[in-house]
Amino acid sequence: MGERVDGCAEILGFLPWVVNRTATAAEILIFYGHAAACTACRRELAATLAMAQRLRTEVGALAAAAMAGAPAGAGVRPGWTGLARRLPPGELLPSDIVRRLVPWCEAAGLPERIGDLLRLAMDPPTTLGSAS
Amino acid sequence: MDSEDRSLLDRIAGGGREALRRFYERHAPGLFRFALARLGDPYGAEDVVQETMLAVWQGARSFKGASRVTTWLFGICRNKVGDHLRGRETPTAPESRMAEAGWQNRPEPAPMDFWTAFRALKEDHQEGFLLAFHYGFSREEMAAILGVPVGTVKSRMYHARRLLRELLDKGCGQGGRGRVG
Repeated sequence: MGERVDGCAEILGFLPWVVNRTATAAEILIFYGHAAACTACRRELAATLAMAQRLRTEVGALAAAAMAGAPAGAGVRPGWTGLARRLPPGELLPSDIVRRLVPWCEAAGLPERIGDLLRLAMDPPTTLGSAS
Repeated sequence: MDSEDRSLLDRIAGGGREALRRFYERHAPGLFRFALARLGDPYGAEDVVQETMLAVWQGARSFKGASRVTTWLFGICRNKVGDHLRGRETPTAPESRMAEAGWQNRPEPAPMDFWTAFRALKEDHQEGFLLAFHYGFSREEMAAILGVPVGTVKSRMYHARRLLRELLDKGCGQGGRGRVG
């Protein structure tokens, strides 16, 4: 087992995609065949795997903190509602209609109609006028 | 997954707002993480997500189907991140910006100060890391997203990997904010 063998530069050129598993099967075979005899490339593989894992962990922690720790009223992640406000006016979505009608059904003492509304939202008719 | 995205894009191209809502729910979290890691600013990241989705709404017809929908989508998103960065002062580490904005429950600073090291990389190196290691894009997809040849992607990743490793090994970046690479 040598410290470094010929072809390291070429092998390391596709290391990131060996790590993220999008390299071709042939490249993966070549890489591991090479790494079996090359200590330096095995170290590079281990270091890159660790970096990739750390990146995923750090990004996940950052996103979780952004979602969980936003100051009150910060307005971050307005989500679909925020985006919909920026779209040009258009027809109401079935889901919008359901959202408006559910409180009305509850107030009118007709909770059994909420199920009908949900079915309508899941499988909207071509035109709302045809709803039975 | 891609076939559902294509179907949604077809409907978005025809003015389908419900399809856009579903497309948003499928992709907004991933785009938000990408933008947040690049900008370090949750408000800015959400702006980027919304701008990206507006571009999808306006440009769904321009998707020709030559790539996966996510490849096309991240190409738009990274351009929106670039627009955002050009319109503001020097980016700082995400944790710092979140603390400035009054964020609570932010993660404890890592011993090696990962984000300081990450931000010390050039922007195209940061993009490469995120696309390869957080999102798992292939070389060809990364080349399409970044608008550069595959050889350039390989070269960037080679240098980015080496530089980030050196920075983390040194426990870097505790001082200066200069870019390396």
